[in-house]
Amino acid sequence: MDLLTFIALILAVILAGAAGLHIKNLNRVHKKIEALEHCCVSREALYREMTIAQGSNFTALALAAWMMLFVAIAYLYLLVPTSLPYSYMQIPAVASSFMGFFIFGAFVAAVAATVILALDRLLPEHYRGLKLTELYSFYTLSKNTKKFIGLTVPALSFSVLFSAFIGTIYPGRDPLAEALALAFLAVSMGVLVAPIYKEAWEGQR
Amino acid sequence: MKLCIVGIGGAGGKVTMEFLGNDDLDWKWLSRMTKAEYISPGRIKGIWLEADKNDAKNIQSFFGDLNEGAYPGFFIPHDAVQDGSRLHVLVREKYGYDVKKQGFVRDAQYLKAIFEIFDTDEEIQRIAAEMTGGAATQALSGVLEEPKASSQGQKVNNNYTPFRQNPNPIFDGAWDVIRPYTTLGGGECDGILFIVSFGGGTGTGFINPIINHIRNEGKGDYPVFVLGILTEMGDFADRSQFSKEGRRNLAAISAIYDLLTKSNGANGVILVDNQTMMERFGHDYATANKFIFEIMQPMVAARDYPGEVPPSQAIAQHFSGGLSRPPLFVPLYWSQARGADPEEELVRNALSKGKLFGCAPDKADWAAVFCRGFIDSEKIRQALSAQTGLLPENIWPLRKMGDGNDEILIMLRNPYGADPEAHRKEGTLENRFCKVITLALQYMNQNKEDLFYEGKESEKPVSTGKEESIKLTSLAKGALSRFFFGPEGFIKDNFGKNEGFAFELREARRRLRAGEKPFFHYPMRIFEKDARNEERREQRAETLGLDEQRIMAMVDKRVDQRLAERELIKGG
Repeated sequence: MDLLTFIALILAVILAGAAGLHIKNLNRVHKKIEALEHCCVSREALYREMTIAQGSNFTALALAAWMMLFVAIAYLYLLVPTSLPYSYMQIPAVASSFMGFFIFGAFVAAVAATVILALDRLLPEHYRGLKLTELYSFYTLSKNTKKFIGLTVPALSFSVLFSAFIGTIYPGRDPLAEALALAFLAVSMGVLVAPIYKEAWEGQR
Repeated sequence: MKLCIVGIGGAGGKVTMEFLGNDDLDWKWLSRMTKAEYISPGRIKGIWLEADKNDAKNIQSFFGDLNEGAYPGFFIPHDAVQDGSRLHVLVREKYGYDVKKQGFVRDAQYLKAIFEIFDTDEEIQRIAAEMTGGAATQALSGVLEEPKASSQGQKVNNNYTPFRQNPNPIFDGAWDVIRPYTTLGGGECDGILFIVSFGGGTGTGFINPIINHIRNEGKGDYPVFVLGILTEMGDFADRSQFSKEGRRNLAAISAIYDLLTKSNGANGVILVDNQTMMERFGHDYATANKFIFEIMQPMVAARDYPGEVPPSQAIAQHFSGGLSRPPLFVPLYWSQARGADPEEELVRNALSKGKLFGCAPDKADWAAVFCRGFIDSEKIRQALSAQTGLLPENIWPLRKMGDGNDEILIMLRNPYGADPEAHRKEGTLENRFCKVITLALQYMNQNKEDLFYEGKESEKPVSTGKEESIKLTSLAKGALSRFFFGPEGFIKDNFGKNEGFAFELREARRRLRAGEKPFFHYPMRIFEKDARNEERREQRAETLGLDEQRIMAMVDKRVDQRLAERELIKGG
């Protein structure tokens, strides 16, 4: 297993951990509130009071960042078959196309957007906590945190650009480009999930 | 509870700025794309009322001009009166007051007098009614039509016809820009929190008239709270105005006096001592302002516990319930890292280290406890009861989910009295108020001419560069003299022995020293209402009522006739 694959596994664990911790955070708050109110509190009522408007600028940027994250992951790991056995290069019609990279990125972004919007539309109110569109409304974010989350959009764009470069020179390899693409991706992912981990950490106290 | 924050005056505006910061990323290029809404913590709305146009337009950039559609915005109330207009000239000729004066020359009496002139003088009321678009008769009958839209382009409910007993363009204008944010004007805020500095000019001058104005418009039960920051001791404060300690203390005590004696005034006056703030933060006013914003978060922030979302109306009723005068509240605040069973520690730390005004917690008659974090109400009640002696049924905990730390804001109602020695002890409310009253009385004794604006000019140059002077007429001077010193007038070193504001201040100091509660008793006016005018107004209202009844009876009769005719026709 090369370093890139090993780090891919770590990133997957961090992402899955964030999802799990987010659900755990919500459950913990629900349990605590029920205990403190000495009665049953519906999830709808809890989420109604718990969520706070973060502003449409931030929400737009956060959604864009998550979509870019999935695109950046796909570009780094699925553009060339260095880490995984499957890759974009195995679809000759797209790989040889002048617009191939763009079609690939747009396809991944469209799939990510469809999943995010489908969850937003289809999940009932008591599952609001699972909607990526409302993820950050459950957390209190400082202005600086919001700025950092907003800045992940350009950071992930850099990751995509470096991955595209790796795809262009394939089968040649450039360790520096790989490292930079990975670094931008990892840091951005860390920033995007940081509020969840922070709350989980503080919730232990 | 969603409050509309109204900062008044320079210091009020600076604190309000903290409350109204944009929670969203305010990147202009993105805002244009997303048409982003301006979001403040707790989704509160607010406005800054200022008297100094230069300060508002050129010194700061946070608030924009409401007249240009900016949010958050400032509003200059006296802009409603045109320079050189009949109203402007008449008030000046008759009383000597310049209603367009900026800064209100650092005292609370200036705007109080103007408010009462509009409240009592029929000639001025008539002209004001004409100015605001209504007919003189409308003013006299107590009804003026609301303009179709406010000058700020805010949404206005056009079906609204306020009961404007005595039209006053200054306060009407101010209320017209606040109203759209409130539930009374179609907005979301179900209460108002005024933020003022007790000791400045605009805040101390404006706070009582604007509350009276809201109440006079028939909004007797609309929740109104005041957060007042009492000026610190010494001459360092208010450097921009070079205002002396005595003068600031007189302004402060005048404003507090009026607030605490108006039976239909504010639902609660929350006091923060700037002396305490300075001991914590030195002369770093910016950090102190941030801290005031922080301490108020348990009260104004969002994320209430489900099923525990009290409307402002409920909080207002609890705050002033059972009292004939507005209560005084002392805030005690503490914040600590989240932990298990934090209640007792929070209460203990708030009581010992978190007082923001001198007080004796065990003397409070009631307490509201605003908490953030995972807090048990019953434990809070028990802890506060055990540590202060307050009965558990007189403690009302309110909880929010918070964001990281466990926080507590205890609002102690009237925490003073019943201790004749308290005024001698540092850190008591009695001691602090006795000092303020003494300094105010000393100032009155030594600077009598300042009370009448004689031989002095405004200490602050206006934007035009001209110095403004005020020359009160004998009518106004007489009224002011009676207000301050009673019928016998000013006698050096021996004034206010029987009547007047000076007398009431001495009495208040005596009550504080004796441990009596409350210490301010009687509301005072500079210009008394003419009983005959009141009688005439009532008669007019009765006549109008009779006319209405007569018209209704005639209409009923005519309708009956028509119906009878139809029946006859049908029958035929």
